[in-house]
Parts: sequence; C-alpha cells; structure tokens
Amino acid sequence: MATSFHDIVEGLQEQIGRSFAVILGQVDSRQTERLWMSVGRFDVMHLPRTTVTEVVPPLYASSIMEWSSGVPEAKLNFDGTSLDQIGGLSLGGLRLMGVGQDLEFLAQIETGMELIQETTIEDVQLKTGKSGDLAVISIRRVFKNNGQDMLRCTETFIGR
Amino acid sequence: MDDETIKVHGLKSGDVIGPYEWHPTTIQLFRFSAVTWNAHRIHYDQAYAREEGYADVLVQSHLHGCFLAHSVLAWAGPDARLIRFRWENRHFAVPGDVLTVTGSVTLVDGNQVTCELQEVNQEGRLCAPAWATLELPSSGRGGVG
Repeated sequence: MATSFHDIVEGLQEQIGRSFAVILGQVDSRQTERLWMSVGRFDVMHLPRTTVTEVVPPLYASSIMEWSSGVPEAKLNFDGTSLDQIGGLSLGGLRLMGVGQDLEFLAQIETGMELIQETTIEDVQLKTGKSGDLAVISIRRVFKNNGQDMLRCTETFIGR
Repeated sequence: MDDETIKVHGLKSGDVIGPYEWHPTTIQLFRFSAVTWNAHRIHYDQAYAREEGYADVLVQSHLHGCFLAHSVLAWAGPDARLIRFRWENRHFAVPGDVLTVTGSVTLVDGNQVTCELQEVNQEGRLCAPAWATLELPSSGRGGVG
C-alpha cells in the first residue's frame, strides 16, 4: 500500500529534534571557483587568488544538494530529486521546494577544509494551501571543521 | 551607534545599496545546478517546467540567495564579511527576467552594518527579500556601487 502524504508528514514529525551527522569531505577549490563563475561574480574571480581561493562563496556549503557522487538516475524521483535530499535524512519521497535560508557565518570556510554536516529536522507543520495540503519543513544544518561550528543554516522547505 | 562610527565608515541608517542587476540565463541555471549537484528538472527541463505550470525553467532558490548575498558583498567590498544572512523566496523567476537588487542600511554598530535588501523582477514584483549583517574592515567599505 502506498504511503500517504499525511503518513510521510507524521513520520517526519516523529523525527523532529533528531540529528544526523554526515562527513561531507574536503572543500574543493575548483568547485568553489565554478560556483563563483556560475553565479556571475567575475569581478571576484579577478581578485588576488588568496582572496578567491581561500574565501569560499558564502552560500557554497548550504547550496550544494549532494556532496557525494549521488545515486543512479533510476533511483531518483521522477522530477530528478533524490529520495534522500538533505543530509542523509529520509524525506519519504516528498517533493521539496526551498523557500529560503537563515545563515550564521561563525568562521570562514576555506578550500581544503574537511567539513562535517550535522542535520536536524527542527519543525514540520501540516498546512493547507490553495493547491491542497503541504508541509512546511524547517531543517537546521551545522557545518563543522575540526569540531568547530563554521556555518549554521536553517532552511525552510515546502513539501508536497 | 555613535558619531565616531559614522565617521569611520561614512555609513548611516538609510544609506542606499545598489541597484545591482542580474540577468539569469538557461546556461547559468544549468551551470549552477551542475556545481551544486541539483538534479531537479524544474531548473533545466523546459518541457517539465511547463507541465508544472511555469513558462520556463525556474531560477534556483539558492541562486536567488546568491544574487542577494553577492550584491551586498559587491556593495560592501572584498574585505567585508557576512555574519548573518537570511532570504525568503516569494516569487519565482525565469531566464530572461531582469532581477534588480536594492537595499538600505538599517543599522551601523561599530564595524558591523545591518541591511535589508529586495530582489524584484522587471515588473517590480518582489521575488526575494533578504536581511544581512556584515563586518566591515576598519578602513570602511570598499565596494563598487
């Protein structure tokens, strides 16, 4: 029997407060440069290399959807999203739309750093919108290096 | 906030930020999805986006955030550092839209400056508001606009 939307939401609500830690790996200089480039900050690209390569784009860590090689295409949802979309959390196949982030920058993330991500579901609320039921999901991620909090990000999603 | 702070940074509440224009393209969206490993079809598959009721593929939530963050950093200069940054996605954007970021300083406290920002499309519709607190170098702002 297929799991209903309400069952998925209830399952997520039961996970509120639980934390999951994932080793993300090393911040890669080529990837950070590509992020600068894709955003269009060419002016930053032309700054001295110590500035560009050591100072990672501020939204770098919190924008990356998948730090590993990911899963085979056959295991993706129809819309291309992954079943485990954030920090190894099982989101039950909900289709998520990001609606913003709240970021605290505690220390500068630099290329070459090893990052660990600690993810916690902070809140899940069932609401009814114009197009039907939806879940408002708040997920907190803390990016750490050598035990130090570097970046704290609370992101809100609409799940359907 | 004291008079000395204003003298050091030349900034005060109400000072204007921007405008900074961003012109999202399909190539930009593809490259941003690639580098963030975001495989959601809504950002690169126009036929799928139309099935979902949109005229074209959608600018990523995080790319809106980048437009806003990089606008305020461009204003503040290369030695400024974000301390806090928050944005909310209110309305979608598609390639071809012209997204303009403007804002204003709301608080100057020592070498920290708090700002509020807005990203609007060419029709004046608010796509994403944002709030930022930056730490400026002691020499003050070194931005470009």
